[in-house]
Amino acid sequence: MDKFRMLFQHFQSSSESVMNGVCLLLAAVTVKLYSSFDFNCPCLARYNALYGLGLLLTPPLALFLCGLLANRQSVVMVEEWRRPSGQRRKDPGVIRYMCSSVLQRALAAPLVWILLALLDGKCFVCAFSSNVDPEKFLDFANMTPSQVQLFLAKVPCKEDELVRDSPARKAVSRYLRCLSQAIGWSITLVLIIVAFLARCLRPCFDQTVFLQHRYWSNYVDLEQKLFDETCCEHARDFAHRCVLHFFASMQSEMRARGLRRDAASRDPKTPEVPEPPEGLDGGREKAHLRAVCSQEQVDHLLSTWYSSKPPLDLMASSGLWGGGLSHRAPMVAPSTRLSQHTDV
Amino acid sequence: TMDKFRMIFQFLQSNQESFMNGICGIMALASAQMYSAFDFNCPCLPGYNAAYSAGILLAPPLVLFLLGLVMNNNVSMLAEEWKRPPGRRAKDPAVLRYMFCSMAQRALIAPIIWVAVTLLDGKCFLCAFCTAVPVTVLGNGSLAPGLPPPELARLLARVPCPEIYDGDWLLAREVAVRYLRCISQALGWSFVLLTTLLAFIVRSVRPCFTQAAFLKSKYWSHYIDIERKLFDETCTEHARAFAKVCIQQFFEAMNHDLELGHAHGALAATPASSAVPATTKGAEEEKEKLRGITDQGTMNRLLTSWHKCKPPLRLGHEEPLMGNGWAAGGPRLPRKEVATYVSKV
Repeated sequence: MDKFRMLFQHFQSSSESVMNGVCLLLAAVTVKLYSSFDFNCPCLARYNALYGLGLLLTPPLALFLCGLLANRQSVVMVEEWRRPSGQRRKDPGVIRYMCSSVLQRALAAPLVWILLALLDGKCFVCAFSSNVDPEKFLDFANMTPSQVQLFLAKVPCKEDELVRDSPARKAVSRYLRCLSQAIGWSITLVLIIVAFLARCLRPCFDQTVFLQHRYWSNYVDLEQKLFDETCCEHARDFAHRCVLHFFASMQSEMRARGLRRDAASRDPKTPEVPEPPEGLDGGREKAHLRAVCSQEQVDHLLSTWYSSKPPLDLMASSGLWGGGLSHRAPMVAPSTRLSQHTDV
Repeated sequence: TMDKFRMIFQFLQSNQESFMNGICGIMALASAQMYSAFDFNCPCLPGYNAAYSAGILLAPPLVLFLLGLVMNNNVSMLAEEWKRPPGRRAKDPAVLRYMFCSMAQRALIAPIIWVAVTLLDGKCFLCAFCTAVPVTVLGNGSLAPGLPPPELARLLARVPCPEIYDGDWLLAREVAVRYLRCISQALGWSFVLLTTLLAFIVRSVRPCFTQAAFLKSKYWSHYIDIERKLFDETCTEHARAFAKVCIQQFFEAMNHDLELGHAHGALAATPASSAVPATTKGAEEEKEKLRGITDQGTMNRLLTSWHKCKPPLRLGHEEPLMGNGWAAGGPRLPRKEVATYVSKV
């Protein structure tokens, strides 16, 4: 069980593999959604195009937004973008990297929908049946233009009385479906060529900067997760102490009342602050959580975390030479230490 | 416990080829499934038939081939290995060729399956060549010359579509369909035979030539792949430790602030003793994982150096990486003796 837990943790530690999993899940959901959707062309002159194009474009938009919502990293990216610089400079390259990776993953499900719709053909036939040129098909020679228009509008509906079992309808429907499939395959081909070239050619440009951006974007993500975890731990500790404090104060109040019955009055309003038992929550390890013990202090900590993230320099931060956070002006560190761009 | 985890991970990675074989098998099945789910829809119009059929025969295989390459993580690894500066590790073109060949071979399987299934099924071939059927031989040969060519083409183009075919007086539809399908299946089987033969020859004849060089290339290509994965994993571990220590120090700094505040101006304890982080086992482990890299600039330099100047393939020499040579980084004289794996064959 240990091994499984470690494996699971490993797959979760890399935010990229989690996002890939979510992206694939969303694509599978899209396929299922498309196959279970009951397409229902209105077969009326002006409504066809509206329905067909609406169905081709609206669900992808919704799926794109879903993809952005489901991806934790989009929130992390926006946070990193909007935070004040504080003691840690912002690197626009990292933000761009995170943005592009979020967008790429969010685009997968909408593309799956559009491609399925085009390869299936129903949307295209519904939307563009009225725009077909009747000259291509000899069956329309004997009909007036208005009759032709009416006929064409009803092409997507196989069961309609006007067009049932009509070879002309089948010919038009075939033609449109073949066009739709050709467009679908062309789009697929273009997309896959672009993806392939992007993957191949990326190492040709700025590979070092890319490695840095990837590392630091992963770092930002991990840091956010760890901070949330630490805050949870702190909240738990805080709650524990609060509850213990309450019980102890109750106890001492009752003791005080009991004593008052026999002896002189003792002020029940000075509860003793109990020491939380040492062994209970790992003593010294939680030392860094202990001092923050009131609502204002917690609020102050959280707002400091947002407005002034600590610098990415552990040696400078750990030395408590010049006093604490409030005294720490942006360190006059040698410029090479805090520089974000390499000198190489 | 970390050792056990590492053992499992290495086992999964050592079978990189079998993993890729699995992916390739899945894609082959997906290709066959895609074909059966795809609704072939011949336009049955004279000009469009050939274009549609050619498209269906050629575009999906290209898509599948590129998809097979894109999904293979080794593509970006190959490009990276190709474009990196030599630094202290010479590049071996034989390794690059091996990596490319093995990727391309695996990516070719799904397209071949698609083409084979398409030809064996026959609809595509029927759609493409229905206008080229020899009417004089198969149908009422006497009536054919009387028709103008466009009319003949229009008639014959409708052969694949049973519900709109209206040329029964000239040529029975079934006859044409059977004729074309039989040719298509013959072509399909020949294609399958040819590719299988080719694969067999390549596989069995290769050990006769340059087997030693082949083994070397295989080893070093696996090595490069595993090295890259381990580097990524180490970077992630480092980022995690960095974040943990950073956050811990943030809380400690808060502590310190608050303690100073509480002391009300009285001499606070000297910084060395106040809020000194307890040297517990957990904190020590985290600091170890940092491996001495504790700020952003150093990390960036490390990443740059990894790309620009990969370490030589010679363990045991503790070269000073972060000393004075750091700023110089790239242009050191490439020492020939470290590139011991360059194949001499």
